[in-house]
Amino acid sequence: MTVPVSTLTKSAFSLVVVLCQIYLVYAATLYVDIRSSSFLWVVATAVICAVAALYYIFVALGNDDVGGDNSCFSENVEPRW
Amino acid sequence: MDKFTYFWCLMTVAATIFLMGAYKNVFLKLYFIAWINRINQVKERPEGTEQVKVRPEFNTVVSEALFQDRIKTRSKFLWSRHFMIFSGFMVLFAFDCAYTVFGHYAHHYFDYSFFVDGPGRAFLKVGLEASGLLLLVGLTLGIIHRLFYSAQERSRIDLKLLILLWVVTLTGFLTEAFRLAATPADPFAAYSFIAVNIARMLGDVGVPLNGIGAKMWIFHATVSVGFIAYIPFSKLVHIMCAPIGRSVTQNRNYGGLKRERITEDLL
Repeated sequence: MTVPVSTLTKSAFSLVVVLCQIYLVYAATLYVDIRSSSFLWVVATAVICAVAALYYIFVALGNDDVGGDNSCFSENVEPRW
Repeated sequence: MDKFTYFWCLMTVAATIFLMGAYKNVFLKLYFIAWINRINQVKERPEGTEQVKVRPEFNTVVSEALFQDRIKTRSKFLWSRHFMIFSGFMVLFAFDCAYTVFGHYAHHYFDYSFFVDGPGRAFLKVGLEASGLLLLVGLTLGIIHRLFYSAQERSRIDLKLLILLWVVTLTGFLTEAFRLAATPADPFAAYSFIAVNIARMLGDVGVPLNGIGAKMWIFHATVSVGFIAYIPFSKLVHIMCAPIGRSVTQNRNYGGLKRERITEDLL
């Protein structure tokens, strides 16, 4: 079942993901010295996660994966008209 | 790598996995329903089909999310167990957020002591302990019930999820207990009324405390963050979308369409 998710919608969700990661890196600065090598770990993790998220949303998932990993919405209905 | 670096790296990975799961298993499905609605508006509908609502209805949220009336129709024990887990989890989550924001973050930007070393900190400690206890009791009852009625409940209740959340809750108490055991002069120890007793027991039996507190903290952080990441991929997604799901499926025509499609697939 192909669901036409627009690029704008995907971009909006991606923006939410990236903003969350930026906030987490910012929050980490309260506990990890930004001049230390440890902080590089946090930044590198955030960058890798952001790239992975963008790949997942725009490439891996595509438009046709309204699948069911949960029981709430697992039975999707095709329009029958 | 120190424990805070580990924690923030882990938190970033878990948040990404959580958001990807929410995108795939919640957002896209709501998008799908909205898309059907748009088609519905354009094309003539056959008799007996109606537009599906995506928004949660207030009455449904109250009856399904707050009072959980559907579970009550099965048995009062199951409802009590679920309500303890639900209320314990929600209150614990709220206190945890408040403790994180006011106890750990905001004092870096604003000058106050109420939640840092004042009565507010004691209030948050008591709230965390009480809600954690409620959650732990509910989960323990849930695990026991699931083990005794495994044939009937296997499809409804995911045992590994219950055990995961039980481990998260228990290790939360143990982390606080080890911290208190290592810092017996903590002026707020009495407000952690469960953990402080565990700490005394640990002292009585002579458990070596060197390094165990930090290891327990790391273990608790790891399972907690893993639990958060797992939510949208498991039955726990109902935390987010059960009220919306019920708002959609309580429409009988939509339910009829689902059954019709399932039957056709079977034939």
